[in-house]
Amino acid sequence: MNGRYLRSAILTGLVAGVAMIYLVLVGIVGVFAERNVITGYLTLGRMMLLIPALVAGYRIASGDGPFTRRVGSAVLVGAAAGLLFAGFLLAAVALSPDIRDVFNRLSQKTLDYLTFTELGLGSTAGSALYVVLGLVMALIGGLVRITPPRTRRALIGGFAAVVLMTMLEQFLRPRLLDFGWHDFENWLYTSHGLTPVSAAVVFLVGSLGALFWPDARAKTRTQLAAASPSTRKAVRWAALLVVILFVYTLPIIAGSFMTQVLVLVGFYILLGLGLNIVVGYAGLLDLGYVAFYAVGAYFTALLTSPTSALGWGLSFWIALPIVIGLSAGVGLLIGAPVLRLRGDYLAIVTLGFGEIARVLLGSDALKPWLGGPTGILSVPSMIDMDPIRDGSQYTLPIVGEVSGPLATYYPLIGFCLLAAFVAYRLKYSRTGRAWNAMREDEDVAQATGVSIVNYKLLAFAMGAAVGCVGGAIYATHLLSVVPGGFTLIVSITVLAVVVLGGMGSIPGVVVGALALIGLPELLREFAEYRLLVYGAVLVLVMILRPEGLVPDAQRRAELQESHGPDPEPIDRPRGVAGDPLAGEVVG
Amino acid sequence: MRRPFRFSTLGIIQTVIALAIVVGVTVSAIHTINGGLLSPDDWRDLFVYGISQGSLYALIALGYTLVYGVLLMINFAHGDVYMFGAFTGFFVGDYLASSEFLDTNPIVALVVMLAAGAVTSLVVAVLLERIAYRPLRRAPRLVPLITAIGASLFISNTARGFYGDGVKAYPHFEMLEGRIDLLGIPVLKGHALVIASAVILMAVLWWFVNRTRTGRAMRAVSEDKDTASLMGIDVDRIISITFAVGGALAGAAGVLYAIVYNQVIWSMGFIPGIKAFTAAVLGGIGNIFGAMLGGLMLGILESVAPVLLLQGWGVPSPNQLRDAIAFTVLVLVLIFRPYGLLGRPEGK
Amino acid sequence: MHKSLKWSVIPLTFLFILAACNNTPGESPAMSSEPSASQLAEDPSAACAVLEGGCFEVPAGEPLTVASALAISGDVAFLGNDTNFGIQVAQEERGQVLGRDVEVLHEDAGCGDAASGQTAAESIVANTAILGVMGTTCSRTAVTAMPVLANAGLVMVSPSNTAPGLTNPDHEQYGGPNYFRTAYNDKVQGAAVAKYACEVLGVTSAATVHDGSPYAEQLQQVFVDDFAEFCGGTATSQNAIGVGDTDFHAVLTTIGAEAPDMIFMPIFDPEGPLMVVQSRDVPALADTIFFGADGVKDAGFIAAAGTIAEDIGMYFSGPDLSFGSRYTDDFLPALLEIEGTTEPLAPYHAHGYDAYNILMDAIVAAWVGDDADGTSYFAKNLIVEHFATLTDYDGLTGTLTCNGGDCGSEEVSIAQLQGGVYTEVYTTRSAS
Repeated sequence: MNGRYLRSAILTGLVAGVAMIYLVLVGIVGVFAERNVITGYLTLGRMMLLIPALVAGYRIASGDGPFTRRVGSAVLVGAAAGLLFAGFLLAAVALSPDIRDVFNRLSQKTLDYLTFTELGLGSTAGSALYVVLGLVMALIGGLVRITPPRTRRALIGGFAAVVLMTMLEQFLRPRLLDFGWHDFENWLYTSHGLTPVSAAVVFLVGSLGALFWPDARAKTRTQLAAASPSTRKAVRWAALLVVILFVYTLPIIAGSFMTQVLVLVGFYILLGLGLNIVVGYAGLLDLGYVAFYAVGAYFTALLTSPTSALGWGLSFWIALPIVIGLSAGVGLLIGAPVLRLRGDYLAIVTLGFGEIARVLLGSDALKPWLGGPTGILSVPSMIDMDPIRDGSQYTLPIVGEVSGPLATYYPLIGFCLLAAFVAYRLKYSRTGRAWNAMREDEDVAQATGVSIVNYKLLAFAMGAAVGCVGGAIYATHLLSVVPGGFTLIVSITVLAVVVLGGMGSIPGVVVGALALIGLPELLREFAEYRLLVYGAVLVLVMILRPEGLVPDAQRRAELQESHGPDPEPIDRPRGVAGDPLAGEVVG
Repeated sequence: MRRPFRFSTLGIIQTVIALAIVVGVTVSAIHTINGGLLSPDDWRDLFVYGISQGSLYALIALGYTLVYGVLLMINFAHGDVYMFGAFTGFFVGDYLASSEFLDTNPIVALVVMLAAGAVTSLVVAVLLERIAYRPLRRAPRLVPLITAIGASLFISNTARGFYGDGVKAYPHFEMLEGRIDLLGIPVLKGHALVIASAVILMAVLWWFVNRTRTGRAMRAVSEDKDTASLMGIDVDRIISITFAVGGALAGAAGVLYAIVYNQVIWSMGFIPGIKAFTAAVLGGIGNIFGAMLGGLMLGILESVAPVLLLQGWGVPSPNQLRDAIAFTVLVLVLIFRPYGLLGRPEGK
Repeated sequence: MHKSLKWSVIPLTFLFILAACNNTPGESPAMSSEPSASQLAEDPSAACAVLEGGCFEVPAGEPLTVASALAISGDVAFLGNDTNFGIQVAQEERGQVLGRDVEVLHEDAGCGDAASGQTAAESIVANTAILGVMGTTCSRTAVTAMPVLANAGLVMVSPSNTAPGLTNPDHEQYGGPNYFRTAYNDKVQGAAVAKYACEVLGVTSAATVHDGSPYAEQLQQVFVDDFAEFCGGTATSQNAIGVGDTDFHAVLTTIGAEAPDMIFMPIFDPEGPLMVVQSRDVPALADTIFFGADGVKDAGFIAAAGTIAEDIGMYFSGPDLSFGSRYTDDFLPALLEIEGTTEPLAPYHAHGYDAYNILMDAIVAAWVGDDADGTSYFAKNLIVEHFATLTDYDGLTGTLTCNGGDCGSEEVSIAQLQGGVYTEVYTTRSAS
């Protein structure tokens, strides 16, 4: 083992140690100190604490070198991480309780938990134990990395399954009980954690899945490719049918809470599709998209609520076309003055429009019309004209009577499909090609006869119309509008949905919304740490997949021809980053 | 960049808008001043408060503009880098205050706090660049923007986790009590400190960028990374230095901000970050004097404009609308000057 | 923190199951409470079938589950956390109910975004084990959460909603018959401030500042109305600021130009302390009385503006927390131990304590009986009824009687900062 490897291993170990210290200081370990993963054996806090060592061991062993060097590096990594953490822990114990004046989370209880007081160890022995623990974890990580790919896949799959089942406990348990599967639920979870037996079974199922799923998928693919065109077509239609049926019956399987989450996801899919037209197709960076969402919601509330300043109490379906028309008009109003702006200047101006909307909506100045801080209440639901608070009810085939979030779910899915259809048709139309040209190079597009003014305005109006439909449904879903929901964070989240999914990609928007809205809602248990995790995931995903989770096929083709995907031409060569993490964090 | 719209209807519309604004502002201002609610001294004070608030925006905007100038990237996390510096400044200041060093040697204590804040923010900024931005050097332009947003959430929530979610009071400086006479105008001493710091730091930054070897390398990188690299400039190192300088400025600004406003909280970075970005764009992003000018203009607008324009018309709670007015002015400025007050077209 | 408790309680469940196996249904649990008439039903499931609204069922061995739906993330997390800590004290002190452990699920209902209240409610409704809800922190989220909860027959009792509309059947914000609160109605607080201003301070003009939250906006409006009614006081102006603003010189200068005797500012940290500190830069406000409300009556304010507030003799209205020795001797030490602080984070912990206890009493009162498998049945409507008919309950926050959803003590305390602590100078309790 020469110096380079030694240095790299120690450095990686120290990074892992810092990550461990970070997790303790930020408080996430302490909060989940008593949350069971495997009841009686492993708590979530301890598991999270040790994961950095595991990952570091895995990473360091990924080289090509001889077996001994890879294992040796992993051991070294673990020892370095453990030593650093043990040192930190000793210092924290020595400085306690004064250290809590700076680091709020280092309570005596947390320190006791960290130093294994329940095992009767002193703080020194408890801290020293981390050298061993870190070493073992890193060694496991390293060994997993060294095993043949199929075994590795199975092990990681099993581990992921256990983590997943633990995380979803709060959502899964009520569902299982709702289905009447009491015995299964009892077998699976005890005291909010898995039992050792159920954990083993979950691990097994997960590893088997990870082992065979990719093979099965590849096999089906090859079979399908070999099949005759008519068979392929039939299979494709059948798959579509299954998907439609799945989406249609999902609310009954998933329950009303999950449907509520899906409705929230649906709002962001709709918003994402709208913003995708502006940013993805036309290349106009809009940081104030929330303005259209808010305008749609407030116009709808004004027109449909019998207690609003207008007091007309129109039906949602009569109000909707009016709202779309008005919002498209607002889109033009916002679009017109900013036609000459490019890139980041456009971004800040649209951000400004979003902020102007936010401030005005809740302001005292417009209170007589918009209700000020209280907003506009008594918005009727989409179906039922009676502005009662229980929401609407209607009957659908198979599904039966729907109410609450389910009542919003179906129309919302309908609007999402419509928006996706429009977006899809636009993309491959003359308009779409004009936007494409404009995005790649405005001056060239202008020279080839594309009317920049018209196409920019069209993009803004289309985006506004789709966004305001989202706002309209939002108002009827909440049965009220209040100013607090329309902040810059919404604009940012929609933009993140578009970019994370893959710019210009319609399936990307769906995946992006599911990942950024759906996942955090399912992980409600993390409550105060949701934004922290959200931020970290955003950074990580963008570093690992800069082109997005489901990149647009056309864009990818363009990339391969080394045409830049930038919305703005800038003076530097572009391309996709390869494996940008290689040699970065690890040094 | 004017050619697409020469003699167009847009030009006519712009002229009409401009005239309408001038008339509207004049009428509103006369209306308000005739109302006589505020005395001339009050107006003068509002103006001075605006300048000091604007200097704070300018301080943060300097770092923003520096990073933008070199990387052409909106560093959304800049406000949170600044917050972290303010927190370290707090802990150092708190320690100095409890050992009574702060009261006996306030100037030394102030310098120590500023240095501590600057160093912390410098480290955070350099780490941020290394981990979150460097791997994306050649990615599409929106990608680092999203990373920056993610980093912003991560950093601010980290501070919340580390230091708790309550407000912490900054140590009190006896010497910054009361007012000082500047050119016959009484200015709060704390504000005078901020204004002076902003001017000094702006000058130092200008000197650094335009007169030093590293500064020249920075400008070369800003013009064209590949050519710069061919000329033997270590682009990664220069970008690291840019972030370091920007971070140090942010940290110092954070400590000053916290001293003036007497408190730190984990969420304090976001809004000033947005405001500083606005200021930088208003002045012409990438331009050091522009950042200063934009900051001052934004500060004065926020302080004076709501009352001046709306009070006369009896609009309730005009100050609630200050952000709306500030952003409206930004939009109007950019309509007439698409690259900000002192900016120049990108890549030209 | 608050999460930890919910897990730690559970291992005890198993001990209990062992112990409870020998008990015949309906014997031992009844000891802890007054037996209700329906408790003696031979076959509780049949009794439930005829009961309007039906029953909650809790299988043998399962804990009694209730939920809290407070703001535990975001800017006002300290409010929700503080209330949760109060609930935790009550939970630890009360121990088992009807021979079962009690589990409190802490949902995050947020504050500003109304959708988060609805989502939290859906999450609660999805979990059929939940018998009742304590929440929300902000009235916006209560408005959207309430229809969902009421639809499932759940009650919600809020330890911190103060908006008057929530218990006013004629108001659009009305929470319905399943909504109750142990926090007081802001009508009471606004009136108390106006009364104190008129009668004790003798001021004749006042300006108000709110931050665009429904709470602050409604509270200052109540104050303005009552101020005019009680002594003909004039509101020189009603101002608003933006949450997240840091420079308040402009609004302070404008207020100063009107020279009101008093400024009533029911806003929160960090804007509240910033405003008080900056008011010293405006000479016209040197003699103006500053009056804050419960939004700034907390440890954060003392840290950020304590000395200045003390110098200018600032007043603070808030719930009357002089609840007697039970509060100071038993409750407060337990609370501070959980919070790890020397001053409570925010004022609504005691209301959370009472909300928990009344909810538990309601569950006990609604207990129909156990069937042969040990499943307990709780009549949904009886839980609501227990709240609706609650009279002279001896709570931590006073003697509570529910009146159309308002169960909170109507006592308001007005305090001044003295020596770093909020010292009471006036209460409606002593005045009446």
